[in-house]
Amino acid sequence: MRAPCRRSHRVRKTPYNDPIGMSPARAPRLRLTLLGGFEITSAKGGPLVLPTRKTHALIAYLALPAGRRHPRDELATLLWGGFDIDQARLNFRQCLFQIRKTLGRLADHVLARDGETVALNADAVDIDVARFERLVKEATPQALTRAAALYRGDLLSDLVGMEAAFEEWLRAERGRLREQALDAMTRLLAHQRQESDVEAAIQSAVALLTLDPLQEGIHRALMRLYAEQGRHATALKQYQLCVDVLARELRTEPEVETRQLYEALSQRRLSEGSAAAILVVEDESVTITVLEGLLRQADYDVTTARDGAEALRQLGLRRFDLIISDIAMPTLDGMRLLEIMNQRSIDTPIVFLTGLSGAEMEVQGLRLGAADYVRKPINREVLLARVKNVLGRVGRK
Amino acid sequence: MPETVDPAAIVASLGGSEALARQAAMAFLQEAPRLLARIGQALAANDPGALAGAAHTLKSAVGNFPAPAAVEAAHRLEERGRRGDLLDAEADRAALERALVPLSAALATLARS
Repeated sequence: MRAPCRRSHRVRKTPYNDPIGMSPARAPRLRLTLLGGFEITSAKGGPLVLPTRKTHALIAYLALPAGRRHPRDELATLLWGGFDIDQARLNFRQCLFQIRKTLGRLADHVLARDGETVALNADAVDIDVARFERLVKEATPQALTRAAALYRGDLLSDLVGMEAAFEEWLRAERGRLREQALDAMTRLLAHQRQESDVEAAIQSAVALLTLDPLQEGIHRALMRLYAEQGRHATALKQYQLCVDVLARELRTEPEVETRQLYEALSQRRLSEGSAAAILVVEDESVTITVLEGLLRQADYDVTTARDGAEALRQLGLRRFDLIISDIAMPTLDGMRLLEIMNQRSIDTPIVFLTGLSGAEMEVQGLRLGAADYVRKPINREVLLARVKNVLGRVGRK
Repeated sequence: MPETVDPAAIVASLGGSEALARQAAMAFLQEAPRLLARIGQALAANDPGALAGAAHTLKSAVGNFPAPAAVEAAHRLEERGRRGDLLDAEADRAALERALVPLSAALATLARS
């Protein structure tokens, strides 16, 4: 029986329209990374610096898939469609020259050229996209895990502002690979959940949401996974992230199933005696940082809102045990927030933050029904004592 | 004479947490120049409402740290804005900037730590 390598050497001598690089497994000369940004390194280690975006684009186009011969004029018009054909050809030749110069002695192994066509030799280059697609097709849990790790980001995510024809091709390829990644990670997540590998499932769900944060089903899966680990505050925080992204991207609210899950987790958290949930309403960044930090140090579950209007939205979405609110804020101030809460029979206790000239405000706030006030500058001991005191009055710790 | 601000006192005022002090310092160092610019713009545009708003926010930010002179300087500008009294307000703005120097230096030390 003949060794397959001999057949492959014959392939290399076939006419131009045959694919290039179908020889047997040889060690690749280059490694090409296209997922999450362009990077090319020699197999021996060092990165190679290709000087322009067009050189990146040309190598990437030739690599998807490698081995396919492309007429030179097709490549010239793909990358320089806005120029007349003579100028486009000249630019193409210069681009190819830059690549050859950078690759040096490797160029003849990597590039297959003749007067009419150019191709990338599939044997000479290890391409992350090709490996990714092979692993997705293989579809075993191990292969899907490796595929998920390979998908570091969208195809050529650092390449922008190219010619329209190239952009069109890139958009289609990005979409195709992204769909494969989503499909692979979804199958991997299902497998991990089946195997009760909660930690790995959380990682897959987080990666899926990084790719597509609008997948409400994945938000729910992640909430359940966190709850399984006993991380109730994180599970509820995930609901908040879901609410925020849906409001921002689609101007919509979560589905009934998601809200019901949130309610169920809230109840479970209460029955298990986990940390009280505090909504901090403040428009000034340093005070938000300080309040959030001090309260988290004391193991409270903290959510922040930038003004009264955002606070009302949060109160409509989930339960809080306590609100700590500034008074002077844009859009809807603290006093007005308390008035609206009274009108809507929202009985979450509110503690006001007051400044130097706060006495008048303190009296006004207490008359409106504020549970207490804390003066700025915030003293940690005073803040925590007052928070604990107010929470104790409503049966929380 | 400008007040002295001790980085250790800032850490102590935030419950002894160096991590929180660093986060707060970084937030302040990012926010303060923007608020000072807003104060400058309000004065240039002779807009007392905008001056009061920007000075109030800066006062609130400074109020998180043991720097009463800087808080007081921001408060003076805020009150000027509320009264609509912008005559010679430039002098108060300069005083605020001077009062912020030792606080910013202490916070920069914390942010680098």
